[in-house]
Amino acid sequence: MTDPRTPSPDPGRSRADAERIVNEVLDARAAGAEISALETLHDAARRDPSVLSLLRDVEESLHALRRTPRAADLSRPILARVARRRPFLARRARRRISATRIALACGALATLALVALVQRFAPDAPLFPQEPRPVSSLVEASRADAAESVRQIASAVGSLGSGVVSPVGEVSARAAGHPRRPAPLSLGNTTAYDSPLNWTPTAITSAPHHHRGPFLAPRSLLAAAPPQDGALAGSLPAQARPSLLAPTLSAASLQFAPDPLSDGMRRTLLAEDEAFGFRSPTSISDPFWIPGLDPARRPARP
Amino acid sequence: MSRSAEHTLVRRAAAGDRAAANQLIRLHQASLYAYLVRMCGRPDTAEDVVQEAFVRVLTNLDRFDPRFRFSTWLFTIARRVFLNMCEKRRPASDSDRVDAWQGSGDSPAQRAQDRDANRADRDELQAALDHLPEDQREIVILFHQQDWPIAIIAAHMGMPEGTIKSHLHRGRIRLRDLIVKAREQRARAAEPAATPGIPQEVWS
Repeated sequence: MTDPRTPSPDPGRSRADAERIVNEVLDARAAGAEISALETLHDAARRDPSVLSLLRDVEESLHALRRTPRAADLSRPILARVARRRPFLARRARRRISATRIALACGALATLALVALVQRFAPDAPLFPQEPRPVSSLVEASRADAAESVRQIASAVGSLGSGVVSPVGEVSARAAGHPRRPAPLSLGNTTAYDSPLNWTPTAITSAPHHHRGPFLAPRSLLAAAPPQDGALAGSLPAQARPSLLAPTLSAASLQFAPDPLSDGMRRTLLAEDEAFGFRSPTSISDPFWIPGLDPARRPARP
Repeated sequence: MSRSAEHTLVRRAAAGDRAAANQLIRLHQASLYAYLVRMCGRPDTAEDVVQEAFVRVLTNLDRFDPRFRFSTWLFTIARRVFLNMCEKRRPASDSDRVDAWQGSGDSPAQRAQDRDANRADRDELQAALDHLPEDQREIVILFHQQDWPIAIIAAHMGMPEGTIKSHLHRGRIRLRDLIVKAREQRARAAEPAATPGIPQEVWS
């Protein structure tokens, strides 16, 4: 059986316990719980009497801390420095300032009340002038600048769209009344993905002159889809789909690449078509096809 | 002083009332000086900080938030001024100057008596405070000298309340240990001088 007053055999643990008890007691006293602090101290002192000496030493040191040194009166130098930065006012001046502030506040309230009354009983009365002021003119100027910027962006987009070359063969095939229907897919058959045409406006202009074929292609195009009223020469028909290169552009804004034929030449070629009895071809798969020419006498491909 | 009376005083001082400003200074200068002189250990530095803190506070009274106590605001500004001053010149303990200020309001005889009675204790205390870490020192001073609650100290120092408590517990015990150690050293140093028959120069 152990005696409760026997000190703990471990001095480090005993010291830590004593410090904890001392802190608990001091905290309880500071919180105003004097009775619980005394109970805690009594229990702890029965187990370890060294708690009492430790508590006495700590209280002595803290008591010395409470003996505050007397300070010199610093009010005069402080007030002098404050007065240099922010002058003090006499009582009369302070009252005058207060009265002025009250009067200004009352005036502002009366003005607001008057404006509210006028707007209620005469809503059409011009209370505030509508003349442009510096701020409003600044707003107008910035609005005009924004509109001009939008216009410039639109023209830039238009010029981009004019450079886009539409798939001419697809358009001509549609205009010729042969809409492309998707063929049923079969394994290994890629014809559905092959374009029926193998010529482009670039191929037309770069082909040799003596074949005459390249110059017939625009003729066939012209015969298949003559320029409509109101449309520019070389522009897409209204029902044509926009190019995949510019999916967001409208059909009317798309144009072909510059037509190599002049108006006079086009008229001459149309007259030749009529003279030769030219009819619109059902399909344009051979760029060297010549109307009225025997297929056996067709010139060899380059 | 109640908070409403304090706020009335602050409002009057903010409106330019010199008497109200003077009253605010007289109400708080002693506690602020005591806090600062224990923090830095130099009465001249503490005096400079007190003046600067009051000047800043009284010229910016319109920024005072009435939700807080005036003393809390004043101590916060004084702490900032003190830390800024510490950046410029690191204060060293000067307990003689502390003693010189202690009895400034009494008669010379009483001042001398005070000095003789408490000089050793004050030296020990200031030396022990100087050996505490700055946070622990400030927390111990605010709690045991200024009687601030833990919550206000936590707000003042920007720390959680648990951290403040642990600093306080460690600071108290360390302060006591430092003081006891200093007393023991002083007792050991005094022993040879009291031994008869041995010349003083042997121990010096």
